[in-house]
Amino acid sequence: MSSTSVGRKALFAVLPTRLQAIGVFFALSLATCVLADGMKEFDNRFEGTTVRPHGLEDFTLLGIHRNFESFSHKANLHVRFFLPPVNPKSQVSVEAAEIQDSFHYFMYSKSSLQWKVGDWNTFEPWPTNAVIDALGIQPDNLGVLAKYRLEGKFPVYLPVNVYENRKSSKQTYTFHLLSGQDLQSLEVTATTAAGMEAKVPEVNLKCPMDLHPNCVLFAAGNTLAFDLDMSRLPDGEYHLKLVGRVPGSEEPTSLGIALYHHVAASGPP
Amino acid sequence: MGGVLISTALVVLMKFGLHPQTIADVSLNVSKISFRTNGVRILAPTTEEQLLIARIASLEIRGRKVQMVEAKGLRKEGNSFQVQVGPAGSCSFYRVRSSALELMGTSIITLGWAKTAAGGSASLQVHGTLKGALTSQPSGPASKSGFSCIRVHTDAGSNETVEGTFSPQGGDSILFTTAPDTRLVIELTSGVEIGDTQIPILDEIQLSDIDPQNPEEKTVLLTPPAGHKNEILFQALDKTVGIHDDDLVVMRPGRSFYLRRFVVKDGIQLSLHGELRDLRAGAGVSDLQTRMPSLIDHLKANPVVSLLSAFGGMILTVLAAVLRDFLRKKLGLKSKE
Repeated sequence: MSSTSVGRKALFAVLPTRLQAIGVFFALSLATCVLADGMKEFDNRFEGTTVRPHGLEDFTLLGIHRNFESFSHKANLHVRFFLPPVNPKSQVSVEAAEIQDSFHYFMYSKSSLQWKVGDWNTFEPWPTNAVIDALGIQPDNLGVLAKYRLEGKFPVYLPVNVYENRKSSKQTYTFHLLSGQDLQSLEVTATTAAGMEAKVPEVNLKCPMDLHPNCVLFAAGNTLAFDLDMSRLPDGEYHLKLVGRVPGSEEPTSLGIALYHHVAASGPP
Repeated sequence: MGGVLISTALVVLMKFGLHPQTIADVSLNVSKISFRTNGVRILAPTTEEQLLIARIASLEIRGRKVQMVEAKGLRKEGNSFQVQVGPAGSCSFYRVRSSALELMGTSIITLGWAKTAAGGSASLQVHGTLKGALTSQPSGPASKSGFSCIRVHTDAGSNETVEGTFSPQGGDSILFTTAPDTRLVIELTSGVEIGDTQIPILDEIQLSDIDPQNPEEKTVLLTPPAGHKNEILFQALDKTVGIHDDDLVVMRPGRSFYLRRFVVKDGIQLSLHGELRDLRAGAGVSDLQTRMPSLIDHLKANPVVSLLSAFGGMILTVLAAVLRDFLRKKLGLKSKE
């Protein structure tokens, strides 16, 4: 047996182990890169992991969904929303984040994108294999917001329909928020942009104080969600007011949300 | 001359550059810690006045006399209930004893402690699915044993609220499963503490928090309770290194590293043990410096190894000189001297 063949045999004996080690190294490196890289630039968006300035707020809005279709790996997501006739100087954006935050995932659309005013718009493509799949973010843990904003004014949110294939829609919106304080109750009321009461089904959530006098409905740092049926309201801008009560305190905490409700009789086109 | 320079460089490298992996005992008091684990259980059984579970998926109650009231005022009484909760649903339980929680596969765990008006609260966030069992306790003078859930699927609708009370004498069983991302919050009344032991840690641990108003990493270390210190003990060297209570800390575990014990009460008291590849601490991200003993420290701590190393070094030096002379003669090169 020549020394060359011995060398080859030794090399082939060692090679699988080496390849395994290299494979593991690259797999770990890939996961680490996704986590450590921060934000990545794509054609229509920035996407990755970052920290957003919200953590000290009593409420943080994470999503207003018309409908959110579950998706599997390698999906290409679409975000559809109605943009009302707005001031052309308004900045329109789409953003997404984890509802229960594990990786500080964040996605936001590029400001250079063109949107159709007074019409349905679709933000796409948003392939999940770019970042979402690698992080292992579950579909029901993703909050998506679309909004327009005129400089110096509060944003007006546009309920979104997030889907892979199906464009179904509804007029009952699901709101996802993060609570910054322990809350014993949460009440939601709606008015028109002019301040007139808007008739929506009551949202008044409370924890059972008869079971525990200092009960907590939503703990600080936990997510909360509620549905609001706006199907009986005409198109227009509405202002929601969320009022929460903190256990053992008389001082309420609140959040105002402006949103544009658009009736889509048979769903978005 | 060149040999002296190389030797000096080697000593400096050994002193400051080489910090071998070593066994360490790390004792820290923190407000938050996040880590990846392949452990199968977490949290030792404990009795809770109030337990909140965000993103719970399903609930099964078996008892003697369980009463449930749905949002529309529909009252039900029985000894067995199944409750299906929507993806963003949550449940609160009052006066229950929890068993250890079962982790379904490799999970990312974040333990937290926060000071509240009632004393404190402990949180357990899991990127992964949890399963657990609760046992209702007899109702107390100020609170009853019961539960409330929001965004529940009932006959009346898909996002309803339900409330219920457990049997007054206690002993009802509750089994729950969570969604893949969940967060539990436990009220820590006086005297209550939660904890666990022997949890394997797989990856790097960063003991810092990011202040959302300022993208600088902030410390999560807390002043430890009396009789404890934030410190690392390197057993093989019998060397203790203190960590400043306001430092940022990053640990890179070796093959086997464990959260040997943690107790949540006025902070999270951590006792970590195992092979450490590196431990860095500092006043800020740019100030992180290794606190690991250098190779010289290891050699000093073990004179026999030190002597053998020196002897081995001498033999290597002699062999190198012999080899050099041999090669010069063989290749016909002349010494510069």
